[in-house]
Amino acid sequence: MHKVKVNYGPEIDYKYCNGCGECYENCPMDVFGWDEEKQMPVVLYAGECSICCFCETLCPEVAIDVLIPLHHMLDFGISPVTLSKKSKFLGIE
Amino acid sequence: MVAKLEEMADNIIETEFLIIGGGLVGSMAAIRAKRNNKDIDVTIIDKARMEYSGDGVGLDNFNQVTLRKEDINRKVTEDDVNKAVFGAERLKGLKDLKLDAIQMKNSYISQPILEEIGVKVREDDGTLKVLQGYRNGTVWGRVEYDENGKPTEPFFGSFSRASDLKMRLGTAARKLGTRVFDRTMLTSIITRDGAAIGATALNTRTGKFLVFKAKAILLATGAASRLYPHQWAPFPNRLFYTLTSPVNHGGGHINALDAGAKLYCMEMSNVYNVSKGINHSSGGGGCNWYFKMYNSKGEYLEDKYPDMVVTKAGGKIPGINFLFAPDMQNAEVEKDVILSAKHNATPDEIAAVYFTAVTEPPKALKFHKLAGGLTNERPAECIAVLTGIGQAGGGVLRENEYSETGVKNLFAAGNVTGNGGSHGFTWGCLIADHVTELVKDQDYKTIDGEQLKQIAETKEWVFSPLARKSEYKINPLELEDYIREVNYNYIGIHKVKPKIERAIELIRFAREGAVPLLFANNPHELMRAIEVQHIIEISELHAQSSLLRDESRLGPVHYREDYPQLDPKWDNKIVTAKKVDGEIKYNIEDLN
Repeated sequence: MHKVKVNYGPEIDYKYCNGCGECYENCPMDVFGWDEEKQMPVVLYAGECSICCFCETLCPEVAIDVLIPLHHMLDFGISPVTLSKKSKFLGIE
Repeated sequence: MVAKLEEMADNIIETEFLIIGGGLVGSMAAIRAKRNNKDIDVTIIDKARMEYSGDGVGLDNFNQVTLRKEDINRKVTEDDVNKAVFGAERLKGLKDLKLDAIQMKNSYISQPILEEIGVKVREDDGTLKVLQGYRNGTVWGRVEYDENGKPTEPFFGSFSRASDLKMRLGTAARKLGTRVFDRTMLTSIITRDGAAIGATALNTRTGKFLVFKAKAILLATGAASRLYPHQWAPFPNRLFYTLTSPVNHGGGHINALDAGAKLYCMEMSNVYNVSKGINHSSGGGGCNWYFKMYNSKGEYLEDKYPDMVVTKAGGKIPGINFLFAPDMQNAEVEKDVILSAKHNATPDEIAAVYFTAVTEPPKALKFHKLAGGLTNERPAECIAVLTGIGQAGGGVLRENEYSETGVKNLFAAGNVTGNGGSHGFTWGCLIADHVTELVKDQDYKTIDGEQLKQIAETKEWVFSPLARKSEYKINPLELEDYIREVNYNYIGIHKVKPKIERAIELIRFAREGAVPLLFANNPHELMRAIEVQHIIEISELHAQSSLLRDESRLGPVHYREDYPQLDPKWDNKIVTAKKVDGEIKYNIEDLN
């Protein structure tokens, strides 16, 4: 598989995902796959994510967070340190 | 012996009107055709999911310049058209004036349709909000007020609140009975006696190979957006972090070329002013149209270079003019750091940025939110990015007033023709009107002999990366990255002959040395393998056309270091490319 391990793209929180499939159905870049056994979406091609964030807004359970590549955060003046102190962003409690 | 069609295709679909690409053009054309005649059979194929595909997520304005507030409710006059044509005079050789005049006359043809399907174009009180067209005579974009607090005239076009535009268009097209094949990628256009009679396509999830038989085809596949890397992003994000939709890789261009259509102005890669990090301009980034830009000396560029400001009808977007002021050799953006002032933004500017940000992908607002809001002390940096072919002219050449290509019954509109935005709506409607009548007298053409051979060859080519058994397997993304780096380093903004020639050598070497080893594990990866092959073709077209146009025009869109001046011999001239006996022939032709 052409997967490249990357530190960005959609991240699904399976505690909240209800398997509705909105993300899988609508992602323009088709980065999601579908786990037939669990009936849940899986992120297969995070490297191809264009960071549009449609999945994040479409998810009725707010179970998806699209992680922004570090390059873009720093370039646009978003501080990962500040964010991590404020919220669960980047997975830091 | 060529196999029968039924043996080659997983599914054969007959449809009167086949629309390739469900973006603004495609979905609008489907709606219009079905409203003209509910019985017409319309099919859309879309590489993504129609409701969220294409460049136009939302709609912030009708992209017309000469109309003023009071013009919206009346018919466009000859005078308006003349004004637009006058504006387009600056683009001699790049704009088809006859098509532009038709476009102007029908510029608001789609607005009632949008309103009927629930797109919120009007304000709550029923009025239309408008975007200012000119300031100090020439600027468009930022709203300015006179001493009485009233916006100065004239206006740019109606401003809409259509953040849910694509969803509504998609829903309406389906509701009217359009057949939609999502996750379906065009792989060839089938021709017979110089006319388009169908297409082949790949379902990028199931791997099914589909054959469509059609009476008329609309090519609406968008810009060739994946020509240059986004050079401030890591791999592989640099391939997909494009200004316009990265779904649009330029497959429509290459399939049209293979079918016999001409491409034109493939040297014209648009250059856009964006906010660094977000890779968006007005709404998304805030720079350029709403927040003022200043350099390290604190000079505001639009005050420093008032003469660089021209209307959009004149062909340039002011932000880019400022960045490349005072001239291409001494461009501010290349000698200085350009920032976008958020700290002193007025409430109207903030509102305007918010207003347009909601019509961009959701990313725009997320970035602003994470950065501390739309206005704060931290400025955004303005950078110039090469966005590919489609927003500054260039693409598939339309050869008559019906927006038909050189291939009979193959129509094209939107960014694939270098003419996108709300213009795409207009042409989507006009083509649909023509096709509704056209298909009444047409029969489905037979697919045999030559066509079967073409389909067999296409199928073999499409699936070859899946079956490949070789020790060295080439990842399509890696090859795409290489090609786009070549474009960036050898063509780019400052073009010069030896570098362009070297680019052609490198592109050809990559095609011969790497493409035969492209590998894919599944239909999704097959899509990427097909895309990179198209991107290689587009890159060579871009390089060859850039070499041929030995002048500079609309810099930085086409700037030759070795021919830095606009040359009148090129007025009204275009570089065209056409495939003859399998070889691409380049030509210099008159446009008007």
